Amino acid sequence: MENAKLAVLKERAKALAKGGNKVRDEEGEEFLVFSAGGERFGVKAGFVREVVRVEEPTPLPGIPPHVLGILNVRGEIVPVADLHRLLGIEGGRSESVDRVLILEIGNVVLGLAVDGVDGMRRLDAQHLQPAPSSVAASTPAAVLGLAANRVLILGGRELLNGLSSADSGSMQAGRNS
Amino acid sequence: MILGRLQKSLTWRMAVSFGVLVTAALVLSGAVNWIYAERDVREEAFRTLSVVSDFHRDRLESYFAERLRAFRMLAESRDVHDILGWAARRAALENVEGEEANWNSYVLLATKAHERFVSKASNLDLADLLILAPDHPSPVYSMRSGVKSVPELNEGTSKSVESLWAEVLRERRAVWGRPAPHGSGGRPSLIVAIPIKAVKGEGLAGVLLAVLNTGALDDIISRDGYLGETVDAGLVDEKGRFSGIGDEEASRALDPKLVAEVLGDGKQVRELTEAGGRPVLRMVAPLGLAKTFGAPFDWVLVVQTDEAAAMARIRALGIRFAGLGILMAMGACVLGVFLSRSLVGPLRSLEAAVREVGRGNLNISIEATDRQDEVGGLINSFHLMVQSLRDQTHEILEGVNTLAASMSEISATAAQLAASSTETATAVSQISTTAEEVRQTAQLAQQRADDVSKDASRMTQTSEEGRYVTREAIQGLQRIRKEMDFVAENVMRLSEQSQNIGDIIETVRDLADQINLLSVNAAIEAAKAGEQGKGFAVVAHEMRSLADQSKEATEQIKQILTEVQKVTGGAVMAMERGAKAVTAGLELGEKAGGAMERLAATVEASADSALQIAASSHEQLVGVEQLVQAIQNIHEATGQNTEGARQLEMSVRDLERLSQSLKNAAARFRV
Repeated sequence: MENAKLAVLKERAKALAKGGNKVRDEEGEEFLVFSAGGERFGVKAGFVREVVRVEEPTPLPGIPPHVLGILNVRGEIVPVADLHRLLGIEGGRSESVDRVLILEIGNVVLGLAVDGVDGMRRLDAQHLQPAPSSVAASTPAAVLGLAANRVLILGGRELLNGLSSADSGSMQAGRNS
Repeated sequence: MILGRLQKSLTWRMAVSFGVLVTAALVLSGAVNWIYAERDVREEAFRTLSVVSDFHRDRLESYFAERLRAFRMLAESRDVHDILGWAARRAALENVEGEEANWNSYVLLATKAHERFVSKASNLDLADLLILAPDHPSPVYSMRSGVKSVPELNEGTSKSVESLWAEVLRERRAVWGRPAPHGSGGRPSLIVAIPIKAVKGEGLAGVLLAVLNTGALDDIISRDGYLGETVDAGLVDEKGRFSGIGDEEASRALDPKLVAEVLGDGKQVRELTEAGGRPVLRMVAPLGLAKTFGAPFDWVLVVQTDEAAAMARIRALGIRFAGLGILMAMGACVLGVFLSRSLVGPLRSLEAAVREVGRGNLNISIEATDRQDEVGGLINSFHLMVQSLRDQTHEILEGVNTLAASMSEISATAAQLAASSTETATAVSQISTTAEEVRQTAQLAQQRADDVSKDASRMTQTSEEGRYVTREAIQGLQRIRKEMDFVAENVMRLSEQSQNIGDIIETVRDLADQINLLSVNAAIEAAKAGEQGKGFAVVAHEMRSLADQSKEATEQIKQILTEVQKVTGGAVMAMERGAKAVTAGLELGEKAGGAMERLAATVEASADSALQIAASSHEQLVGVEQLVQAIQNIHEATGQNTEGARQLEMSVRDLERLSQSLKNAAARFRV
């Protein structure tokens, strides 16, 4: 018994001594972590083309409520969506849009208004925990799960699909990563 | 009883007075006369005694001298030589027998000589006569034994004879022997030895011894007749003992010292002494036998008389004088009685009249008399006096009535005067007290004024200093305002600069934000590049951290700036307030300066005023003190006034009483 306990404790100590970075460095993928509406989200870096800073997206008449407007990024017109509404999460969006993530999946380009960008993180996307109920009554499809450090991992394709499902006929679901 | 009569009766008094006066005069003159007369009589008695004494002394002296001369003559007479021859022959006969014829002639001669001696003896008072040869001290001849027999002498006598013989032979002069009792009666006899000169040559043929009978001396000094039988005279020897000559009474109670004194200085002495129980006047005089005759003894002559005998005449005179005096006194008394009679009668009637006048009855009448003497004058004057008294009393009565009325008024006035004077005194006393208080107040005021003057001068100084300080303060405030302006300007510039810094910081922050974004994008690009982008990812990460640091720094700077701006804003506000306060202070200071100037002027003026007040109050104090002194004087004068008024009132009251009693007295008079 004693020997078994001591073995477990030794195991843990080893795990702690290794630190998280090495795990991150060796395992997982690069995620861009950002915050919106008090929650932290992460999205695979591969889906992100760039982050731009805009004043305010130009609103357009007749567009879905989750679309804020359009944005001119170096001559390219990019729609900007509200993540909250997109995810169906209760709570208002930010008053002013500061950062806009430009997602590019295939040939679909989407701007995503966020509150702030934390930076690049290496996260283990294989071992995800279910998203907490605080996000939504029913976990949206775009939310893949909860990674370490309370980061909600968003799936790019699911996100685009959600957009397309919400916006009927605008976009087809892409390939799952 | 006699005293009572003397007090009541003039007659008695005059009689007794006359008697007493006369008696006193007589007694006085009698006493004086008595004293002087007694002294004179005593002197006279003494003088008489002196005369008697001198007389006796002269007599005695001449007697002795005469006898001595007689004996010398006798010694030089032939008879003595005959006797001596006879004696020598007889001696020769006793030795050698023979020559009978010559012997008879010798005997005859000697017998004749003896007879002549005997015949002379009674005249010369000789008791005996002895003749001694020079070769032997025993006498060869004695008158008493005669020529028939050889003289025999007793032992004492032969001794004295022998010594006398020897002395004569030695001295060759007459020598007296000491008195010795000789013969009967105890009367002394005197022996004088005379040298018998030889017929030829200087030698001595013999010695003649004469024994003198002192009965003759007795006769001499007992003979008197000047003062009757009362004078006693006697001789005493050196020791005061009676010599046996004269009266033995004279030597009684004689002081030997007196005798010694008399013999010492050779002067006569008088004395008044008691002898035999009665006073005697005594005169003691020396005879001077030793001096005059070289006698070996001396006698003193004492003459005395009874004082009573000496004074007998004057006493008789005194008795007669006293009898006459008594008679004269009685006569004087009688004369007094008669004299008083002529006085007392008129006096009695006058006395009755005066008594009536004394009772106030002036209506009596005394008749004038025609007597010319003093009594008559008295009666007439009394008559006139009563008349004029009547008139005067009449006037007096009227005057008294008037006086009484006036006195009442005066008394009332005096009482009012006293009352008002008392009131005045009270008022003056109050005034005096008030003046004293005023003086004290003035003194206090003067002290206060002095203090105020000093304070004012200090105040002037202080206000001068205040003015100076205020001026300094205004200048300081002006400098402060300049500095404040400068500081405000700088602070404003600082505020602007901080604003600029804010802008710059904002820019930097924006830049940091963009770098951050750029780093994110770079990281995304690096992530997209995969393994090849790893180095770039590191760079992007570094960029990102730099951007974060820049952002943090800008945040910090912004915070600091914000603080600075806040502080600067506060400073600006404070500066504004300070500037306002300084301006206000300056204004106030200028106002204060003006006020100080005015204050200084006022203080100076008030100091001048205080000085003037001090001077004035000093003068005032002096004036008030003089006033107080004056009031004090008035007070004293008023007090004296009051006292005087009171005394006046009392005097007036006394006067009133007096006038009342005068009135009462006057009412007794019946005019």
